[in-house]
This record gives sequence, C-alpha cells and structure tokens, in this order.
Amino acid sequence: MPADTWLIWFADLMPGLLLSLQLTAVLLVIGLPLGTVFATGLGSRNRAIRYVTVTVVEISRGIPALVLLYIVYFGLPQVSLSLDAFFSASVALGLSFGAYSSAAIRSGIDAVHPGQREASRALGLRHGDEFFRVVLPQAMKIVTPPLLGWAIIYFQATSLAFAIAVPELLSRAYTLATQNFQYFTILSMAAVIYAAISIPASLFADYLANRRSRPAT
Amino acid sequence: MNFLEYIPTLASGIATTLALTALSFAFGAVFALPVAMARSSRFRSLRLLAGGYIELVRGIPPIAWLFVLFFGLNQFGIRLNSFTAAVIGLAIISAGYLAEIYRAGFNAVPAGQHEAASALSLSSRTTFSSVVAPQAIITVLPLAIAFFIGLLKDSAVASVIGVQDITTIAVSLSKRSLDSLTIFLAAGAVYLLISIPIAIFGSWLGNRIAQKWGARHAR
Repeated sequence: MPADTWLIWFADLMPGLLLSLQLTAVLLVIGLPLGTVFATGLGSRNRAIRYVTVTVVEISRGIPALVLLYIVYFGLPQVSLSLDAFFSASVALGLSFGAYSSAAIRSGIDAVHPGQREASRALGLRHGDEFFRVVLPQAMKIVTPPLLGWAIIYFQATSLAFAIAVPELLSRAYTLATQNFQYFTILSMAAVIYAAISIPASLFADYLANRRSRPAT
Repeated sequence: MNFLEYIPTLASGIATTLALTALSFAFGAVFALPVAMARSSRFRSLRLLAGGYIELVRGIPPIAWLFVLFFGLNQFGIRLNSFTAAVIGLAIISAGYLAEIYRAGFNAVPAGQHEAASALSLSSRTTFSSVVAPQAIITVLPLAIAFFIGLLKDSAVASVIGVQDITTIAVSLSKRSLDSLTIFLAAGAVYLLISIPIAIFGSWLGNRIAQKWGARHAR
C-alpha cells in the first residue's frame, strides 16, 4: 500500500480529530463545574441535598453514556428543547463526566487539611471565599491526575457521537472507509490516532500522580 | 405514552445484553490470566508485550474496536456477524482490564505469605492455589464485579453495529413513535434495574468470601 495514500487518508481524518478534541473541551467545560457541584452536594450537611445529589449521580452513572446521548438528542426535542448533535453530545457526555468525576473531586476536597478551613474562618473569610479561594484551588491540585485520567476516557467516549452523526474522528474514518472500501486500514488508522493521544496522556497522568505521592520536602 | 408500558418490550433486549456482557466477560477473564502472568513475568519482552496490550486496550475506544472487527475484517473477506464481533471486541477489552485487576489482587497478598509458603516447602502450585489465590480473590472479586457492571453499560455500543440489545430496541421503538424521551428514559431504567441486583449480589458475595477466608488470613 503506497505510503502517500496513507498520508492523504491521515490528512482527511484530521478535521475529525479536531472535532473530537473540541467536543472533549466543551464537555469538560460543562462537566468539570458540574462535577464540582456534585462533589459539594455529596459532602453537604443538608441531608436532602446529599440524597438528591447521590440519586442524580447514581442515575447518570448507571445509564450507559450512549443512552444518555439518545435521551438528550432524540428525547429532549419532545419537551421542545432541541440541541444540535454536537451540543447534545457535549451535554450528555458532560453530565456523565460530572457524575463520574464527582467522587474524585469530593475526595480531593476532603484531602485539603482542615487547618486551612480553620485558618480561613479565623481570618474572617466569607463562606464563598473560603471554598473558592482556599479549599478548591488546593483540592484541584490534588485531583489533577485522576481528572486527567477521566478526561482521557471521555476523549475516547466522544466516539459515541458517531451514533448521532457528529462528524468526529470515527465518523470521518467510517465515511472515508465506505468510499475506499479499505475498512480495516482506515478504521485501524483512527484507532491508532486515539491510542496515540490517549497513551502518552495517561502516561503523563501516571507521572503526575507518582510525583505527587512522594512526600513533600 | 406510559413509561412502564415500554419496559416489557425493552426487556426483550435484556437477554441479548446479558449474553453479550457475560460471554465477553467470561472470555476476557480467561484470556486475562496469561496477560496478567506475562505482565509480571521474569522476561522483559513478555512484560513489555503485556503492558503494550493493556495500554492499547485502554487507549482505543470500545466502539473503534467493534468497527475494526465488524467492518474492518471485511477487507480480508472475513465476515463476522454483529454479535460475534461485539463479543470478540468486548472480550479483548475485558482481558486487558481484568489482567490489571488480577495483578492488583496478587500484589495485595503480602510477601510474607509467599515466604511462609516456601518455608513450609509447599510446591509452587499449592502455594498458588491454596495460599495466594484465596487471598487475592478477596481483592479481585469486588473490582471484577464493578468491571462487569461497567461492561454491561459499555455493551450498549454494540447497538451501533446492529446487535439487538436493549439500546437497539429503544432506537427502533423511538423511530416508530414520537415518544423518544420516555422510551430512552425507560431504556436507561432497564439498565439501572439490571445493574442494581448485580451490585447487591456482588457485595453479598464479597462479604461472604471475606468472612469465609478473610478471617482465617487476618494477620
């Protein structure tokens, strides 16, 4: 198989990869704040808030991401809430990301030394300032490696958007394959592109996690 | 119109979803053994090979595996039906994840147990089957069951290549009605309803095994 044909196919897949990365970015913009909201809800002193949050998180995690995608894309128009395919995928995957990452964010918040909260209170900081300016920044530092891990999983999950015809990497590969009948070559190429991004990224996440677990000097 | 009305129709996909999940889990669980063994082998090349396999499984989305198997192999004249392709694809993925779970289980067994076994001059097979494996299973079981439930939900991607599972039935129902929201919510409920008993059974089994073997091995 001539190498320049491969190169042309590779170039054809690039806009798809770009869209997958954009989708990842948008779902993170939705999912990270949502995960933080869930995380605070899970640790709330108000029992009703805690129960509601646990229910929402468990339901969003218990339903396959693909079905969530269909609920948003095919279901919501029924209650006159139509989102385009790209935004539907962002919302559905963002919700799923928020639900899965909430436990990690919660444990990050819990890992911040209680002295930090006590000090903020002693300094007379308001509740909001205590959380957003003292606790959350430190928690985020702790949870960066696991969140990076989740982000990699959701970069791969953007391939589910194929099912609602978002022209992301896998969809482009599929379309290209149907034109050339080189199904194995082109689909494997897409698979390798996913791996070429995910594997180094997860090695980097491992590196961050190991570096952090060493005792601070 | 009614949420509950859709449940019986969707339930006809449960058998396919469960068969797909159970078969790929079973094949994965078997194939994970050599992968886990290679991963902690004395030989560097075997370790690298198993490590590479696990990274590849984690680095490529399930749907891409299914596409390569279902559409891709056509290029070489190999035609798998959608269910077979889905089982093979999900089994390949399961083997990688389960290999890591096995390894976590064996690493959780304290080194002293191996030393004690060799001090008692147990054969390596007896050491494995009577000393290491019973202790490892306490770690492995809850992780494996959590993975099984995850796989059950991941199996929904098989609907994209046409496996007649819960999701496919929901999609075809929704095409014949204007009630997509209710139908897909019902489909989500069906997945939840089958995961919950598995989770409960899993924690019951975990507790029982911990009680039966854990007590004897404590300290």
